[in-house]
Amino acid sequence: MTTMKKTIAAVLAASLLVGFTPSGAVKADGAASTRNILIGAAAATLLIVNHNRQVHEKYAQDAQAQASLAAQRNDAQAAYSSEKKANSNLQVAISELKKEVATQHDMITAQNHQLAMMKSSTVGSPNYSTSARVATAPQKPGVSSPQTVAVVSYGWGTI
Amino acid sequence: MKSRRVILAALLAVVLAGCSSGPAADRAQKLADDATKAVYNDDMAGLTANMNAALVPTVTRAQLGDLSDKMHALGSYDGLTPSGTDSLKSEYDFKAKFDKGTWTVMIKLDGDGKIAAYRVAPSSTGG
Repeated sequence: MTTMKKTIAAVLAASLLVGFTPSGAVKADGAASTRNILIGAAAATLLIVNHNRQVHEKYAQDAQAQASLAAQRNDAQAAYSSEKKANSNLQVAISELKKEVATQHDMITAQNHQLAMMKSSTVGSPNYSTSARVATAPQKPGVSSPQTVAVVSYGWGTI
Repeated sequence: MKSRRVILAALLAVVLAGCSSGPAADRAQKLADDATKAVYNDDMAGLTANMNAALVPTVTRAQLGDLSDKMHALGSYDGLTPSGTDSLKSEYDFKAKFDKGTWTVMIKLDGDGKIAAYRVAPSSTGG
């Protein structure tokens, strides 16, 4: 900004100097004065235009910075919103997982109970207690096969 | 000629003796007796000692205890006597004598001479 002021002051001083400078010893007439005034006005206009351009550029930079900050702020807001949504979804998922684990625990408990019941009932399992052929009378000479009846047998393996 | 007949008869006797299942039956009886004593005494190790690998896992302590209780209900165990043989199937039946009755003990041996099946059942004459 100081550079701008110095520039404006220098240009004004130059225009004044131009205005005060004698246009010529021989031709010190009204035309030269009019020319000097026009040059000074043009220089002032140029300075003003240049200043305005720089001001607008500064405004643009500020606006861009603000826009960037706003974008960052918006991004942060969006990120926060996404995080919040993700966290909410995670909590729901965790809740569902807890339910699933509880259900599986119940299933395991029920299966353990069934397994215990099966183990306790193996005494009466078909493999252990099943029908078998048993001779009803001692074998007689000449009889190839004994007369048998089916009775309940206990043990392991198949005969 | 007479001596030839004697020799033939002797050879035939030797062949028949070789074909008989005497040693196998004796082994089966010993295995059945040992297994029955193990069951009576509720001895899991003794029962499964002569069983093959496929049969051992099927034996549970609950079943052994149940069968041991059934045998004890018949009184003391007095041993086995052979009652039937199916040598083709390697199946052997015995009468197990108890104080209060007789049960049938059936065992089946595998190719290695191990017990592939062991079952007991009340006989028609007792138990």
